[in-house]
Amino acid sequence: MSDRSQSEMLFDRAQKVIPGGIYGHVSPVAGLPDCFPHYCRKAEGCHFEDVDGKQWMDFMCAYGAILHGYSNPEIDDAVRSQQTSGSVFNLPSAVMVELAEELTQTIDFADWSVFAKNGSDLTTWAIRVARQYTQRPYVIKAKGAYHGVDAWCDPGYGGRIDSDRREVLEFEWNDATELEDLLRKYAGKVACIILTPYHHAAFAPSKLPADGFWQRVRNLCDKYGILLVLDDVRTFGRLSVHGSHRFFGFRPDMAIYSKALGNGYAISTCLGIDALKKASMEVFLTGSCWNDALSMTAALVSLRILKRDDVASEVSNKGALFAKGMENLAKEYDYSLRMTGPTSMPYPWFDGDDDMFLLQRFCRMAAGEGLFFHPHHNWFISNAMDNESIIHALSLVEKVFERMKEAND
Amino acid sequence: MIELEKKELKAWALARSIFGANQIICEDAGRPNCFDPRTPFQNSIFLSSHGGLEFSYDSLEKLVGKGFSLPRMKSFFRSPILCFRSVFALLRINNLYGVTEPSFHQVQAIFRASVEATLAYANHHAEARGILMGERGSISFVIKELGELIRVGPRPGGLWEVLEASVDEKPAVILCFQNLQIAYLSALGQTNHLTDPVTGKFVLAGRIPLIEKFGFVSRLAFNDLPMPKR
Repeated sequence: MSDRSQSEMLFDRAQKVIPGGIYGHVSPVAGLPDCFPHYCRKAEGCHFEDVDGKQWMDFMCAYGAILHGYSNPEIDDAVRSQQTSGSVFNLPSAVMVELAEELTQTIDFADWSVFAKNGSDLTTWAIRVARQYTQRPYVIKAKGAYHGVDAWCDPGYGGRIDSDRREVLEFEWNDATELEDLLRKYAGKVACIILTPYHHAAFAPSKLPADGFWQRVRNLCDKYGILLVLDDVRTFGRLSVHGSHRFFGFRPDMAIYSKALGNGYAISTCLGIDALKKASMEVFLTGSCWNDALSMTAALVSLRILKRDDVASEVSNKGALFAKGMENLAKEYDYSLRMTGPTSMPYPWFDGDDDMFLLQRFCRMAAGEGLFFHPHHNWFISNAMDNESIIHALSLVEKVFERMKEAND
Repeated sequence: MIELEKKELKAWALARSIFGANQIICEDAGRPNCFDPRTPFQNSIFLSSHGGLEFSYDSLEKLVGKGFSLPRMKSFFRSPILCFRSVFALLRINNLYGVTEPSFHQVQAIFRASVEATLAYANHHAEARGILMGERGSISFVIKELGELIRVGPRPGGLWEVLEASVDEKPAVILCFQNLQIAYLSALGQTNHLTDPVTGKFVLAGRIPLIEKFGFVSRLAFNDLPMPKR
C-alpha cells in the first residue's frame, strides 16, 4: 500500500468542517476509499499526481470534464489572456455572443443558446421551458438515468417530498413500447422526454440505443406533440463535435452540454430550436457568475480544438484500441470481460459479476499499478492519451490479470 | 405488506428490536425466545404471541428510551409466568447496553435489535419501501476476523427479513467492520456512513447501492426511535 498520509490528514481536517469530508460523485465512498487517494495536487495531459506524490494514469478525466487533457496549454493560455481583462463583470462580455454563435453554427438543429455552470442548472431549466411551451406538467425519463442534483431527478433519498417527483414518469431504456404506453396513458399531459444519448447509469453496464430506438422516440414525440430534450452533458464531444444526436442520427428539440465543453472550466449550455425561443424567454435563468468570461473563453477554444483535431474520432479510435486490448487480455486470462458503451467512454463489465465484487478487485489491483479505473462509473478516454500511453496502460492491466489469476479470483 | 401509521410503526419496530435482541441471547443460552410481537392493535402492542406483556405505544417508547416503564397491569393477570419471564428478558437486554467491552454475542444481540427496527421500516414505512422496492440479494454484516454478525435481505414476496447465513448463497454486498467496537457503535447509530469507510472503520464490497439504500432506511428508523441509554 502506498503512502496516503497527506490524503488522510486532509480528509481528517475536512470531515470536521465539511459534511462527509468530501461529497457528491467525488466522495471516496463512491469509489474505493481504501486505495484511491482523496485529494489531487496537480494534473497534466492524461496523468495526475495525488497529494502524496503518487502518479496516476487517468481514465476518469475528472468524470468527463477533461477531453483535451489536463492543463491543456492552448486553452489555458487563452484563459490567462482573458484573465488579464477580468472574469465576471456587471455585464456579459463579447465572448458570450461569440460562443453562442459558434455553438449554433456547430450544432445543426440549434438556433439559440443559453449558458450556466453545471448540467443540472440547464436540465432543470430545459424541462421548465418544455412545460412553458407545451403548458403540460409531466416529464418522462429513463429509469436509472442521471440528469443532475435537483429534486426531480437526483439519485439520493434525503430531503425529498412527495410532490418532487409527482410529475416525473420513467420507462426502461430502449423500451419504446413502454414509453408509448406511458404517452397513451398520460395523453395531453406530457411536456417532454429527457434522455441521455446512450444509457450510462452508474453501477451497471452501459447500454447503447437499440436499432431504431431514437427514431421511434422522435416519432412518438412528434405524434404526441411533446419535446425531445437531449441530456448530452456527459457525452458531448466524445462522439461528435456536432452533438451526440448526430452520431446516433436523430434530432432533439433542446440539448444540454457541459463537462468537456469547457475542458475543466465550469460551463454548461442549453441549445434549442427556434420554436422554443419565445418560451425560453419566459423561464427565468440566471446565476451570479454565469456570465464568467473565463469559462466561455475556455469553451470557445475547446470547441475549436474539437473541430480542428477531429477529437471525437481520435478518442473513439484510442478508446477502441484500449477496449480491444482490455478484452483480449481478459480472455487470455480466462475472464469474460466486455467493454460496454462507446469506445471513448468505456465501462468494463465482467459477465456473471452483477454485484461487482470482481470489478472492484480488478480496479483495486489496477490502483496498485497507478491506473485510475473507477469500479462504479464509466471511464473516459482523453485526447491527451496516445497509442503509446494506451499500450503502456494495457501492459499494466496485464500485470493485474496475472495477479488476479495467481490469487484465484 | 401492511403500511403502518407512524405510532404503530414505531411500536412495531421497538417490539421487533426486543424480539431480535432476545433471539440472539436465547440462541446463545439454548432456550426459547419468550417474545414474538403481534401487529399493533388499539394503541397497545403485545410483546408475545400468547398474551404476555402488553404496552401502550408511549410506554414501550419509554421502556426502550428510559429503561423502565409499566406495562398494562392486566398482562400479569392474563399470563403471569410469561410476563415474569419477559421482565427478566427485558432486564437482560437492557444490561447489554451498559457493557463497556461487549463480547461478539452481545454485539450481535444489539446489532440484531437495530437491524430488526430497520427491517420494520423496510417493510412497513411507505418511503422506505419505495426506496428498497425491487432490490434483490442479501447484505452480510461481518466483523473482521470474527465472522458474520447478521445477514438480511428480501424474501421472494418482498418482505425484508433476517436470513440464515448460507455458504452456498453469496451475499450481494458485504459490510465488514474493522473490530467489535465499531460494530457496537454502528448498532447504536453512532457511525458515519460517509466518513467511516474512508477512515477504515468499515469496508464495503459488492453492490454498494443496496447497502446505501438499507443504510438510509436504518437512519430513518434511528431518527424516529429512542435509543436505549448506555
